[in-house]
Amino acid sequence: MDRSRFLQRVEEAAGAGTLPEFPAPHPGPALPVLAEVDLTPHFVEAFELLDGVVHHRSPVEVISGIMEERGAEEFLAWDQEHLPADGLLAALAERGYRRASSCLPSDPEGRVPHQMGYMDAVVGVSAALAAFAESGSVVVASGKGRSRLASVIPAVHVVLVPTDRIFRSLSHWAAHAEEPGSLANLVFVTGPSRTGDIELTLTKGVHGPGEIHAVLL
Amino acid sequence: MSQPVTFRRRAVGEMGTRKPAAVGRAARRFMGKRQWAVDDFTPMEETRDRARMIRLHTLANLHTYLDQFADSVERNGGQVLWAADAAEANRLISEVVARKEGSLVIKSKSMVTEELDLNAHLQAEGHTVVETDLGEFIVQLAEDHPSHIIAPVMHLTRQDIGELFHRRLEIPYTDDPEELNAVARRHLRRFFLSADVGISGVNTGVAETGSIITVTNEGNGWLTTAAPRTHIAVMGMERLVPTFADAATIVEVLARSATGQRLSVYTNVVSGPRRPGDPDGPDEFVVVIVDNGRSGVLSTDASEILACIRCGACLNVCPVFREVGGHAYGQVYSGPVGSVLAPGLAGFTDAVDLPFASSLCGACREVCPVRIDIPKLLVHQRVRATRENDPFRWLGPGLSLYAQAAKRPRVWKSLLAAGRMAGRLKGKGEWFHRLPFHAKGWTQSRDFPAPARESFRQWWKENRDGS
Repeated sequence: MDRSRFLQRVEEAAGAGTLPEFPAPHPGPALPVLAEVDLTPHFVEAFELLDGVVHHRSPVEVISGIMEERGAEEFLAWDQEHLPADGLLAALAERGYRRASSCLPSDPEGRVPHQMGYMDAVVGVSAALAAFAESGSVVVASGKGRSRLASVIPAVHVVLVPTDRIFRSLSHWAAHAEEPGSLANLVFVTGPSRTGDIELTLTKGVHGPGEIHAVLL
Repeated sequence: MSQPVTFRRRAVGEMGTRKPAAVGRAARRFMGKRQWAVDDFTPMEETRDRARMIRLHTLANLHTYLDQFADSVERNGGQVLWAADAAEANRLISEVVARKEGSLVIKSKSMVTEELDLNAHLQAEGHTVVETDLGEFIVQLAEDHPSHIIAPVMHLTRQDIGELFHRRLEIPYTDDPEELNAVARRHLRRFFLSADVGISGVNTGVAETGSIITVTNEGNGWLTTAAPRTHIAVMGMERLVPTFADAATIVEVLARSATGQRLSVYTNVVSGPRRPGDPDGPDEFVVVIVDNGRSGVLSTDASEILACIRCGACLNVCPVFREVGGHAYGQVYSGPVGSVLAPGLAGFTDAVDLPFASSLCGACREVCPVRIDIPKLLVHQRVRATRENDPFRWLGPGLSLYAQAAKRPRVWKSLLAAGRMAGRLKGKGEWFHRLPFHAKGWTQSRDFPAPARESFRQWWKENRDGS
């Protein structure tokens, strides 16, 4: 159906139906006014409640620790210029860990074999554009040098969180976010991947990472 | 009656199985989780009010916001297709999928594609379709249907699922959820990485930014929208909000009501195809906006039901749903919301008796995150069902028989005497479980109170002097 006919049908239907009364005009964001507090401990508490692991050590120590523990050699990561930890990738390379490229060609033939190479990625490193203290969430954004698959494919997700990017809640951040539609993808990640589909039994690491580590900076 | 299988008959069938016990257990656990999340969030009530305003405001101006949404999607480099009904939606989606012969399609959970019966349509055209939500994957393996909006296999036990994996995936039997989960992860991983097309539903579209938001806990929604070259988002036309801040309010109440989480694990906002320089993400982003009966619902007294954000809380709390499970409703949408929505979408022939599958107790209205007055809407739908395809033709003649008897004291008294005698003959218990003749319809799904041993008049005669 073409757009104008579709919309005309919707307009006529809305005119014929009866919706309950509701206050107009549409109000702005209803955000609770709260005193200024240090949000970091709140974020840590919420993040740990979800079985996330918080680190205060240097990112290179944290990541090489996880790599060693898992016997992994390769990792996925964002480009260095998008990671808020100078020289991180070089330091990991120095310790003998290889970064696999997660840059996909647009050519459909080349794309799939390339992607299949991530099958067994163990660790993925990315950074938070923002974090929410109330829910313990981190915002992972796509963009140049910022691979989505690096955050979602591996078994362990290590996310670098600058503490000055912690907001109270999603709503508080959303009220300030500039042009959230200009980035192709934003994901609010709240804890490790989980499911309750089998008898509502909590199971972690379904399709996304079963472990999430936040390195506070 | 044109109705081949009634709710009652399906419900009786379901209640003979193990399913209702599994559903009841799961529903109670869901309600416990929801209560934790509601108590945890101080401004919950205000946020529900605000969510309600957002949704009603959007519905009242839906054509304007759809227009704005389409402009925004196109500005972001995406494409918008408009589908009046299921057949058109399936055709439009196939046209995109069929750019490659025998495409591999991965899907993240979407109720609207259940409505379209999209999987069957794509498979008939030679494509491979793989559901990736663990619950939906199990449904697909079992060749079953989802029984709950957000917990598709709520009706299965871990033993059922263990048996199914053993048979279909040829693994040794296990009923350990951890192990079953690991099997599914390994099995589905290669599909994620090699799929040509990802199809997702839409929890909320944002008119201002042209974004679509999907909410998952497993990560399959993110993978489905990030890994394949083409992403098709199928959206029921009412699933919109005006601004990004509005969307934030909706997902906050959604997660708390649905699964008792502060936010779902992956709240995934997609605004178009990958931008120049993005290392991954789809090269092609298509939104298919589906009417399929929604404008019909919007034009009635029941239009408020379109404010629903699909959290499933009304199912979990409903005493009828808990007893019979989702399959008894025989429709894509079950429980209280389905009893209002399904007759509107599927027509009053197929789902004519669903509005009556409720005691109107009001528990659904209490928990609804956008405070939809579901009992009132059920009554609206009952009126319409009676007008359009009277499922209770016996009711009119029955009531006039009753009136005839009640107007004649002698007839009335002898009927009561007969009732008392039947009560005495029956012996113990205060309820009739089965009534004879035309009255048996009543006792098919409820008991009838046996009359007292003596009438009030008899009692009065014997006691008024003695006191």
